[in-house]
Amino acid sequence: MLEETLFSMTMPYRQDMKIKSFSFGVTPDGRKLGGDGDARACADEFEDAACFVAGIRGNEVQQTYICARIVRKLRKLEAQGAITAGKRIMVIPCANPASMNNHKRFWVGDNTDVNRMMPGYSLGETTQRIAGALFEHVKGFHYGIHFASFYLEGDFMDHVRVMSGPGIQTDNGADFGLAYVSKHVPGSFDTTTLHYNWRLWDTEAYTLYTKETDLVNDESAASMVRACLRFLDARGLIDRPCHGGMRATTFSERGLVAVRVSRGGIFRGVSDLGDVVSEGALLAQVLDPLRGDVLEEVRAPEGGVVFFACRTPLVNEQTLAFQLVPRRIRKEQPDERGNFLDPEA
Amino acid sequence: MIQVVSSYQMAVDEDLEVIKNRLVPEGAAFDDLETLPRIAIVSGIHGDELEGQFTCFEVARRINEHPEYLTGIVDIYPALNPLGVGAIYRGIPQFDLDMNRVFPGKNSASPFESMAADIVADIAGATISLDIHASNIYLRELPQIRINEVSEQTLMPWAMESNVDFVWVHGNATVLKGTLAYSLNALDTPCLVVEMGVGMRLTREYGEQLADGIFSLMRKAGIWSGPVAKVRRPIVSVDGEVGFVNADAAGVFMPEVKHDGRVGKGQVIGHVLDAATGRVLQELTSPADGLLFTLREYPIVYPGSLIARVLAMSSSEGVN
Ligand SMILES: [Zn+2]
Repeated sequence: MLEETLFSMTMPYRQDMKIKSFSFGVTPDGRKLGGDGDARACADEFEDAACFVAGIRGNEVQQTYICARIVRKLRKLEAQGAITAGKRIMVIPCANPASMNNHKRFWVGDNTDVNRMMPGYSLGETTQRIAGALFEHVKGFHYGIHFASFYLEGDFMDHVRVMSGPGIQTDNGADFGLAYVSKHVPGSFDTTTLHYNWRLWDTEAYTLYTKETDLVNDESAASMVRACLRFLDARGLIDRPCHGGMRATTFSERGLVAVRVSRGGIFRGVSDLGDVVSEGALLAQVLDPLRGDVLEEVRAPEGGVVFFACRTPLVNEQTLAFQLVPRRIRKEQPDERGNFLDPEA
Repeated sequence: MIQVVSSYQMAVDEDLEVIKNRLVPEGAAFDDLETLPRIAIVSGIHGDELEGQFTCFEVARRINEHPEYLTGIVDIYPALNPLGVGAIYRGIPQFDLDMNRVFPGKNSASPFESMAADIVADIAGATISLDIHASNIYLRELPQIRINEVSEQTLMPWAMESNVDFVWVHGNATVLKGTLAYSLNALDTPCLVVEMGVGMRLTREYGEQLADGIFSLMRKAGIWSGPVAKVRRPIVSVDGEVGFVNADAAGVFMPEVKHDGRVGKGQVIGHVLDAATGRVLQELTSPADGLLFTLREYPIVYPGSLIARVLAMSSSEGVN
């Protein structure tokens, strides 16, 4: 394993911010990235095969944790000789440690979003410089996997998100063996994300979403690590017996059924993430916060699986309470305006 | 007359309301209102930008003083993001979300998207509209109007009459699509974006300067028959003529120039200081002879923090 500091920046009244990467690779004659003396291999002897990035936002702690577990796992696989010769796998568990140490989603200095600054600009503003340095190092990989998060206050089922364009369309999100693959049609606000820019530079890109963001969940992390190993195995980058996971259901994001509340109040969920519900099933109640009366019973407009569930205890009129994957997956719908309730918005 | 433009129920016994004040000519019949020219004066999309507050006040005050000159409709929307304005919060509280990325919005979507759609529907059809911003808490701006090049033909005649110091025409590629101005211009409702002053503060002379400009626009639109102040002729620029000065050190920025006009090429704009050691970490100079229209206000800087923007000009240009 080769540990490197990809980028370092001076900060007012605190230590320099460093973005670290961990690279794995073995040559056919057994030399390793980060090896000692004669056993050392150089990065340019390898094909840049797969890159994992997390923690571009400072609150994406679960995402960083997953990558840290991937680093640990790859170290083990490297020791066992299970990484395919000539392929480099790089992991950047935390691209924004300064914001993470502040427990803050966006940049500590000016509240801008580093994942809205790709591909970055080395002479520009602070977050453009961070984005630029990061992208410089992650571009050119064959496969790019970004662990990101939704800003919505709620939980999503673990899933893979792929984008319809730009660039190559060789992606197959089903290779992760997670239950769902969502297909996203990019809007104008997508053009400055890592995923989009990876695609522009011909990287086969995936974004992985996990149930938690600012909390650590071991079960979900373990399932994500397994999914990533399964993907690496499917692409021939590691040699490790992996179970097949799940046969993924792929759907267009616009085919999700949005369920909104029609009253403001206290939100009391009844259905859980992953529940299979039939039409008319009770999903939640909205309660009068002062009198305790039930103001509204939120019901499923059609049968399906609960894919997103609101977690905030307080809701406004029209707040998105649930998203269901309908039982009957709709065909791709004709292009409409990108949804601002897009996770990356 | 105060009217509610959009209203949504929040959780605990309160509706979130966006309001406007509608001023109409004395004795105008309700049925005639549709046919009258109308100006929409908008502020407070970013809750920490307050310079528009005084402009709104000043416009309303002057009309109240001389209602007999009003020949069209004036709609004043002082706070499109009321929760943010009340909470010293740039985005939409509850979410860390920039309201000026939500337009044109969508009905029956989230409350904030619906609210954006209500606002666009209410302003659409105005003869002219202004969206007044105040930079942010980091930078101070000379009164200026920013225009997307695709709307240049429609907007420039208005911008030239609005009494700002300069007009900056942006390339379409750098323009954000989720803004109120973009959405209105796409609906053929001309919308000027004004940037002036600095976040969280009020600058009286800028407020008065823009109020003079608004009366000039109202006169041009047939909304005001009273006297108006003579407007200044703004300097017009395109992207390529603007030079940026960014910090490369982290520390405390101390300006060495006043934010009121000309700088020479190589002139010291300010320094980045190390407070603990008394050392100067970086000296920042102007990249060109020209108009210093943006100057950093907030002292703490990181590598990359914007310090100044200078519009390159020869010394004879732009003399008002
Ligand atoms: Zn603003």
